Order: sequence, then C-alpha cells, then structure tokens
Amino acid sequence: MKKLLALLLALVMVFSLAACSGGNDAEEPSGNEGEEPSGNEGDGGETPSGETDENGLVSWKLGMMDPGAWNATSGPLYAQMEAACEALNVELYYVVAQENSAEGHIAAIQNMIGADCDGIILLNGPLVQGIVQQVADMCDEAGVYWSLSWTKIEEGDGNYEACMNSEYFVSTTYEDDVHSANWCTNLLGELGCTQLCEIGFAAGNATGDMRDQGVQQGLEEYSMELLAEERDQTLTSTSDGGKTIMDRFITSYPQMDGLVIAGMSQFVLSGVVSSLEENNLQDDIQVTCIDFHEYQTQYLESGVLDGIIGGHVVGTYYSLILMANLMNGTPLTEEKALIEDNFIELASYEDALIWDEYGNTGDIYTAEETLNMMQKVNPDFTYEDLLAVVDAYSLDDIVTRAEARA
Amino acid sequence: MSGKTSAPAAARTKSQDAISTAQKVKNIVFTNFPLICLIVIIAFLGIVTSGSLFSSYNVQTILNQMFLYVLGGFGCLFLFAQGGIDLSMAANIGMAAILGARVLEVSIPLGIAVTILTATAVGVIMGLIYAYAKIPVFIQGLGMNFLINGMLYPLCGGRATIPVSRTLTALQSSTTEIIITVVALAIVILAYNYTKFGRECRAIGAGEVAAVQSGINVKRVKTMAFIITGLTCGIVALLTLIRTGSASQTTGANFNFNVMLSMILGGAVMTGGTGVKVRNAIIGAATLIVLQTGLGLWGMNTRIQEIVKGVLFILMIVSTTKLESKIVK
Repeated sequence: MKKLLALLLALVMVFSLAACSGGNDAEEPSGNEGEEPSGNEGDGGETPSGETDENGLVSWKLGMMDPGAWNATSGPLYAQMEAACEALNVELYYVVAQENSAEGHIAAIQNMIGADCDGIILLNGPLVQGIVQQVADMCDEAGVYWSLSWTKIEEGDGNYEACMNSEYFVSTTYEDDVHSANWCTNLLGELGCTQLCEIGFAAGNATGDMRDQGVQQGLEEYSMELLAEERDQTLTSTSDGGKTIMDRFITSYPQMDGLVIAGMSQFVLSGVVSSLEENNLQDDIQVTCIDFHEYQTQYLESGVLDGIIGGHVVGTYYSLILMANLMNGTPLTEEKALIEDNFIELASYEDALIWDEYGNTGDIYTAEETLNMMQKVNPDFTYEDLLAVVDAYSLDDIVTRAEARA
Repeated sequence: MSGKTSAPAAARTKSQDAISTAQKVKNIVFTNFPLICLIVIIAFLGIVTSGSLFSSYNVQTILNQMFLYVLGGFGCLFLFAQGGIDLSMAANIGMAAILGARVLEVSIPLGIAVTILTATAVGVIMGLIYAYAKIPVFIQGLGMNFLINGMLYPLCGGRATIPVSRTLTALQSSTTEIIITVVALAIVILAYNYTKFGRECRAIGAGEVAAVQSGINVKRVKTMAFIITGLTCGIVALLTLIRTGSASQTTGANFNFNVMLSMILGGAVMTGGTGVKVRNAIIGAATLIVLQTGLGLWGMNTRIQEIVKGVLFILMIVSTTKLESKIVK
C-alpha cells in the first residue's frame, strides 16, 4: 500500500509539474512573413542553430514520417528528400507512426516536435485521418513550421480554414486528381471497354472524391457503365484483399471488361493481377491505375496492365524548397503556398523503361539544381521560378535535364 | 487456548523468520523489477538524450500518449486478474467512436451517450458469452473482433473519416487528462483492492474451481469484468474522439495489443490472480511510451528502434516472469 501511495504521489507530482510548465513555452508565433523563424525556442523546437555550411545555408531539422517499406511512390519521394536535405544542410528526422490511425499520427507529430524539429513536412496522413486541425494546433502551439503534400485544400472546407488560420503553415502540394482518374478511365474507353468496375478510396476524403469525379467524367465521355466499386479499407489495404476483390468482381460481373484502380493500387494491384492470371482473363479485362507500382514495368510489358499514372514524388521536395528558403530568412513568398504539381503518365512499356532509368532514381532534381532554388545561393530565384519548375515536371522534363547533365 | 500458537501458525512464523535479509532484498528487487527497469530506462535515455527526454514538452507528450493506455489498463485489470483478455477492444472502440461521431453530428449529449453505451453493450455480450458459452476467451475475442471490424465500413456510411465538432475537441487539455486519470486511479484502487468484487476477480485467476467451491458466483464476476472492459472502451472511444477530432475505421487500431503489452511490461501475470496489480497498468504504459519517445529522441534509426524495443520487451517479460517465481513468501 505504501508503495502504491508513493507511486500515486509521484505520478500526481509529475502530472502537476508537466501541467504547470507546459503549454506556455512556445513563443508568440511569428508567421512566415519574411523574418527568420523565431517561434521554436521553447520546447517545441530550437531556432535553426545558425551554423552555416559552405553555401551559407543555415542548419535546421526537418521531421517526416518514416517511409516504411520501399514502394514505387514513397521510394523515389524519400530518396529525393534525403538527397535534397543533404544539399540544403538540413537534418532529416524520421518518426514512425506506431499505428496507422489518427492517434498514431498525432503521437508521431508530437514526437517530431519533442525532438526539436524546426519544420515538419507530412504527406496525406492528416487528411486521411481527419486531423489537419489537430496538426495545425500542435504546430502553432510549439512554433513549428509545417507543410502538407498530396493534400488539396479548398476554400470552404475545414482543412482549408485550419491551414490558413495556422501561423506556421507553409504550404501544401497536390495533384489534379480529377485528371488522373479521368486519364485512367478514358484510356479504358479508348481500348473499347464498356463495363467497368472500380477500386478506390473510401469516400469522404478530398482525393477520393476528386478521383471519383474523374472516373464519372470518363464514364460519360465514353458511354461506359460502372458495374461495381469496392472501397472497403480492410480489403483495399492488402494484396490479398486485391485478389479477393477481383475474384468477387469476376464472379459477380462476368460481363466486366475493364477495371480502374483509382486508389490503393500499391496494395491491391499485385492481387488483382494474380486473380486475372489465375482466371486467364488478362486479355479480356483491361486495367488502368493511379499511383506507381514496383512491378508496373513488367505488368505493362506483359500487357496485364494497360496504363498507370503516378510519379507524384516531388511535391514534398517543392515544400522543402519553400521551407528551406524560409528558414534561411529568404522566403520565396509571403503567402501560404498551395501548389499543384504534375503526374507522370505511363501508357506503354517504353514509357515505363524511361521512368525506371531517369525518374526512379532519387535525383530527379540534383544537388546543384536544388541549391539553385535557394535565394541565398541564387538571389535571382523567385517564387515564380519555382512555379515554373513545378509546371515543367514531366517525363520529357526529367529526361531533358538528365541528358543535359550527362 | 489463549497464548498458545497453533502448529501451522508456528510453522509459518518459523518459515518467515527463516527468510534472510538478503532474500528480503531480493524479494523487493524481484517484486519491483518492472519499476526498476522503467527507472533504468528513463535514466539511460535521459542521459543519452542529454536531458531532452525531461523537457516539459516531452514529459507532457509522454503523459499524453500514456493516458489512454493507462485508462485501458485500468479497465482490463479485472479481466486480466481472472486470467482473461479482450481481443475485441480495438474494434469495439472503433465501432463506438464511429457510431458516436455520427450521432454527435446531431446532438453532443446523445453522441456521448451512444459512444459509451455502444461499447458497454458489446461488453455485456462478451461477458455473457464468456460466462455461459465456455469457449476460450481469446477465441471469442477474435470472433467479436472480426464481426465488429466487418461492420465498421458500413457503419462509416462509406466515409473515410467522420469529423466531430470543435466544441467537443476543445475539451482536450492536460488538466482534463490528469483529472480523469486520478479519478480513475482512485476508483480502480478502491474497487480492485478493497471490494469483494476485486478479491473475487483475483480468486478466479488463482483457481476457478477453488473460486466456485468457495461460493463465488463466477458467471456474474466474469460478466461484470467484461462489462467494465466495455465501459472502458466507450470512455476511451469518447476521449479518442476528443483528442483526434474524428472517427474512422482505424480508430483504436492496436489498442488491445498495446494495453496487453503495457500490462505485461508492467509486471502483470497473464494467468491472473494476485500477480495482477493496479500499478502494472501505469508502469507498463510508461515503459512503452518512454521507450518509443526516448529511442527516437536519441536519434536511433527507426528500423533499429523496432528491433531494440522488441528485444527489450522480450527480455523484460522473460525476466519478470522468471523473477516472479523466485520470490520467497
């Protein structure tokens, strides 16, 4: 009993200490309007130390979610980020989300702040988990700059308000998801499909809704019918689930001649292909999908896959450029940036080979190109120049720049 | 009779006298091994992180992240003491949060009631199955887990996340968490250590046949333990909604495993009985979260962190179990 009481008292004391000392440490947010970041001197992160490298770039710490196992989307994305951080004198700090849930993401972001990160760049986790407001609150309280990727926010929705009202929000990058799904659906229409099934995100997030809009437009343009759709995350988050979904589609809709995978393809595509091959239907059912996949080249070569759109692996890089300029006291813009970047379309085996050679490398933008986007290194570089870089991103752009370097 | 000591009592006294001081020290160390491990881990990580672990933000973060696991541990305590476990907790929390969030869109008081009552209702069903169907407890937990998980998607109404009102999320604060934890701790200490029900739970864990023979209504006690677990799931679901501002199919993911891990790290014995104590929930949750936070702050590679945590967990659990058996009473 004595031990228990001692434990209880110790716990109450620690709680009380934490409650008394917490919450008021972060400085008044300074916003990102041109001055050196200054809100990180409390427990939420230190001011970039001021130690500069040979390019005059200040050292600072960037938090990101741990990429986990390599996949065709996150692999090149993180490789590019690691290369760029090295060039920009940025320490990249990974945190694991222990659970793929809102709680898990919140805990991971708390841990980034606790590790004194000066800035945080997140993918679409906050959007998917519905915690954009919570992220804004945590970062504002701690005085940590933050950006999102793969996240479209639009005026009128809660996420837009959360970002715009956050003093420390820097940017979000996103892609035209109506276009990506429309490209996939139209390709099926051009291949002569009339009866489609769809695998996609659970409704309710902006990305999924836009992709549905793109599919719908394609269905109307080519007078195709959507027979069925599957959005259950318990199925769409594994390869086995992909096979189960496809087996069900084949059994229930023998007239099906096309499948559009508008989301979760990195998980389901292998299962879908396995089901098609098992049922010997790879020539009868055409498949297109969004988000690159590690086996896309071989699937495109064998003909089991007819087109894939993805390559959206540089949005975080653009956010890093914005944040790095801000940390160095030379912000490219006074505004909170909402940047639309491009997809890469692979409609043939040859396209896939080009991507493998030039895009799937981790240095879509080299250290030299990265440094040239820093105003401290290249005072002539502007926000408009960055937008031009974003706009130019395509398979041709990647090849042209790589060949110029060679 | 008076002044005379009975033979068994005399033997017991003799046996107690025979415990040497060294053994007494050993007993103290063995009994408090999880707490000692926690202190060592905190000290070690405090040193290697140059004190960063003890910054007010990180202390607050650790307490914040421990909070729900401690509550979950308190709720499971009565079931754990019986040697039982509820593998459907995560799914139960998810369902309660989803249903609650949908009703919260209409009415906050009604939404709160639905969240708590839904999870409690699952607890009642689980308790009745546990008490009367006589199937292994982990099988029924897995079954209920599958059943509820299958329902989560339709219950979401096809939505990825269901946001809850800012009025509710504004309730989140360290102070609220402290108050809830202290109140829950007081209730659990009283109920577990000083009531007939608490003793009965431990008695069932020590030996169900003996418990039946000593007149304990085992079915009632088993059902009650599951109802308490269900009620806890409801409270955790509500607090999760307040913390995250939304519900989804992943709400509560892995909660049962983390609570189970916390209890075992805290020194709880999986077979139940007197080896399950209130402090297990606190020490275990603290160990789990301090390790997660501290290894990251130390700058350890995230892949290696997982390996280190796994090795430490196994070592701690094996050591606790071995040392428990060496305690001389």
